[in-house]
Amino acid sequence: MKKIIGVLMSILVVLSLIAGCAAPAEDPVVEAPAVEEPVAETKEPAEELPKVALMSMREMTQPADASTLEGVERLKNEMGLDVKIVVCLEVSEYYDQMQALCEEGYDVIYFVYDNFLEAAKELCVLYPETTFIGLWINLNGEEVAPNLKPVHFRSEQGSFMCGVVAALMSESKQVGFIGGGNNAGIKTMLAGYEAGIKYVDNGTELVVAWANTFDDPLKGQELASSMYERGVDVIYQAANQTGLGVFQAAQDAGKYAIGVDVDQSDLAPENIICSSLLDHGYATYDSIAAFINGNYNNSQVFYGVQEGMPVIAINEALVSADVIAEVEAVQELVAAGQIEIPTTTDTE
Amino acid sequence: MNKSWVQSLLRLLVAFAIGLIISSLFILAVGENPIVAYKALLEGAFANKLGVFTTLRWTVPYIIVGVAATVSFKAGLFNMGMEGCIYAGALAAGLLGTIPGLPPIIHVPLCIMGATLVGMIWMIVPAFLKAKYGTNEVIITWMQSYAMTLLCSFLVTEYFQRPEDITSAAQQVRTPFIEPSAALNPIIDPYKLNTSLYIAIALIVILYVFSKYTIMGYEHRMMGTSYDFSIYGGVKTRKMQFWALLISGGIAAIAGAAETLGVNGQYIHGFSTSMGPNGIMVALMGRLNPLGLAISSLFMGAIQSGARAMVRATEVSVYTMNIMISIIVICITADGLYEMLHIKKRQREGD
Repeated sequence: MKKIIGVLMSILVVLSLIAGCAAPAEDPVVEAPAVEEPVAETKEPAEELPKVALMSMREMTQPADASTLEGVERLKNEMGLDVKIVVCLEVSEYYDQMQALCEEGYDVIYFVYDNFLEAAKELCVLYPETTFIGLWINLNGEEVAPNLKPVHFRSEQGSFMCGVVAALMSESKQVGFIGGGNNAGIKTMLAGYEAGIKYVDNGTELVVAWANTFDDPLKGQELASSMYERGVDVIYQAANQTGLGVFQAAQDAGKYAIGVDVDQSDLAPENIICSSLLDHGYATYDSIAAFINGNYNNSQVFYGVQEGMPVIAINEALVSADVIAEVEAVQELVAAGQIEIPTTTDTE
Repeated sequence: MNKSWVQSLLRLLVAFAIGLIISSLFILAVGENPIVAYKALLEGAFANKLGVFTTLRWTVPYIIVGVAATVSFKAGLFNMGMEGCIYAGALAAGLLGTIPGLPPIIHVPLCIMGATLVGMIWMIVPAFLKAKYGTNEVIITWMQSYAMTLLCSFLVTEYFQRPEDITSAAQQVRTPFIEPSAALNPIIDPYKLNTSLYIAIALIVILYVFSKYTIMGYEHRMMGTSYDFSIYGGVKTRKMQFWALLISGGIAAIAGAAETLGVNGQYIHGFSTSMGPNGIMVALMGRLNPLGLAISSLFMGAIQSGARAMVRATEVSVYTMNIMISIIVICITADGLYEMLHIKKRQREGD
């Protein structure tokens, strides 16, 4: 009998604990309608606006992600569109989450990086009502489905321009490249950079090193330091976090470095002469806005100079007006399609 | 018998309550309303067709790994190496699955048998050392698990990488797709729940029959309960330990194979969301009982599926759910707590 009482008592304890848990949560409950109301308000004029979700494979903390968020912000400011951001940290989440978004009636699923591509390829057939737009997707002309739009960057263009700047700025006539990993995406940037150096054609030599990691600044710093010691005086990094070490080494050695993805010159204003831009924000805004404005089609898009996307940010405090004028001339030639930039190279 | 059921249920409730309360703090910390978050979790796990199927889809690997963990626990062994076996099994199945021109009736069993075999072979070293010299199996299996996970990643990057992936921007470590003849097909089409559900159910039934109705199962159980007694009773404990670890590894590998053949259609590195450690949790939550195992797997599956819905509905991270699961497992396995709450009889009374 005692035991039963004990059991009952413990149930009471548990229940009161649960009740205790509910109590502090009441405040947000009271607030919740206040938060919901503006949502309801924006919904009424927004009725023609599609439901858009953005899928990211990591927490949105990298420079490229910050740029993506700028694009999202711009969509909100200019079109009143709320983009739902879904972060999928685990490989097994990609398909699950994408399918759930389809089932929840999202009109557009915008995903960044091709980790999501397999899931999108399967699901775009099953859910023809949903439109899939993928950034960093190059289908090479493969026709998958009318509701899957591949979007990619002309990442060789910014690198080409940086190659021009590097060759013109280098005094020792030796420039470096540090890549985070020897894959096709980084190779394209190396190819552009190399072509830019060759385009200037003033006898500048290129030194290449691979860090084989995208998140080890110390490794980047070591590689860069040894390069600077060998006489290299400009290094272009395409290595994400690893590249932060390159900037550190440039500051220590008092030499030049080139940033990637976003304008990184604020990280080392005395050393970063320019940054090649892969403007995720521009691509995000432009491709989603095109859908909203009814200009959607499923053809492959490459964002670059021709599409009006800025591809290089020059640090005007360090680069002379002559060089800037030269780069602008090159940019016009690229825009006019008069310069063929290779997208791959045999240089290792 | 009845009382132990009430005890188990109460344990679960108390653990669940504490888990909910503590993870509420984390949810509050990111400025979300815990009740909204839990509601999203519950709805995501059960309220719609996709939710239910996703829950069941996750229940399957948890059941299989849970059975693997139970096999070793019942023999008094800790198999910490199941994660490695899962990856090994997945890779084996993924590679065998690419063989063209086999009928499904041969191909599917071939892949699963191959995976099982690889899982068992991988456990030979710790099992042998344990049986022969009494070496601590926890450390060896655990370290081997890391070795296997990295080995799989290495093997795929170096030798089996899908050719199309070499040209892509963000690289994933994965093999080519398996042949359709090797696939475990979905039970209802657009959803990922597949016929590996039947494998999981079969494994639970086998486990139940084995430990309840066979002599070997009795010996196996006795060895875990009292090692000395089982030696006295004439159980060949060393042989038993050896096979218990091997079979545990083999079954864990089936979970990997089921994921590859049924869900992903290829080996993708990182597909296992720490299923090995979670399998141990499932086995502990289910208190090494086949039915309890099924229920706790369903619970874990629901959490997996619900947590994702919660992520979609709120700003809460998936990791909050990991915190909750760990707290629940700690609470379930902490005997002292229940003595304090008078749910469980003091063990010291018998002394």
